[in-house]
Amino acid sequence: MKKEDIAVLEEVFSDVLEQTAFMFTDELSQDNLDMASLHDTDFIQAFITFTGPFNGLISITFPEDLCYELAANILGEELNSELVRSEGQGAVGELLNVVCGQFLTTVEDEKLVFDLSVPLIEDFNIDEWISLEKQETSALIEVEEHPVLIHFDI
Amino acid sequence: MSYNILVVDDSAIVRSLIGKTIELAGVDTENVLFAKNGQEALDLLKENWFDVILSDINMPVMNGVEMIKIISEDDIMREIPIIVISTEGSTTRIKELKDLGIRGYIRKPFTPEMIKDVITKVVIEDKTYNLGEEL
Repeated sequence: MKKEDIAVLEEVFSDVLEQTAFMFTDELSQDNLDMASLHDTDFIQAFITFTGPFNGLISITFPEDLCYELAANILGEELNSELVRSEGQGAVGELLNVVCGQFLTTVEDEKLVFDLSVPLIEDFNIDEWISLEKQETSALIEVEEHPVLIHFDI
Repeated sequence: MSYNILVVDDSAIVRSLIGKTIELAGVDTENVLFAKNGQEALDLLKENWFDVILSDINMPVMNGVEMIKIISEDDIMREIPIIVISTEGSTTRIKELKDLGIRGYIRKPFTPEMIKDVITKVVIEDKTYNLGEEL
């Protein structure tokens, strides 16, 4: 795995999001980010660690509001349904689970075995966002007019 | 004939999605029960008979591989076909699962058609699904 593989992670993320939730991505650059609105946004980060021939981590950082849209789309339920409100964050974890599995077999030999952790979810603040976004193995993506940050680390 | 199905996945959203997908796929079910991990599944298996188990691999408490090993060593439970629904893509891991006796494998994300096909192949036609000879 090399730093250029962030482009593969972007592609896998877009494909999985489309297949699981019928949601589409657009390119987003730092210059187009509305930093003022980011400061008013609550974020959550889902991350999975993997161990095997080498160890690493993959994360997706989502605005909290987008989690519920994701869950509603995956389940085909109304945005305000009880299941969507209770499982919004879990939807991001499951999305990441699928992305992680697909990404590892795309960039590495399919024979290699990696053990994945269960997805963990944490609150994420704007300072952490700014720091993570600067890293070479991070990418900004727009999903339904929301900024999303994907990242891997080995 | 209607079927008793056990769905094992730690994600509530996936359990709900698989339940809905089974319904959408038009599979005739008598009972669909859900477990959050391998241990919960084994507890349900003590009290219930299932025609098929649909299970994830990567779960806390007891993962799918551990659960499948225990089931494969039990003279009665080993008769229940197990279908793995997972993000797992390693051919080595899938071969390991095949050697443990799983009857079908679906890689997430899945569609209602895939669920219907796997249940038809494995439960009704007594064949395997997506476990190619190359494995």
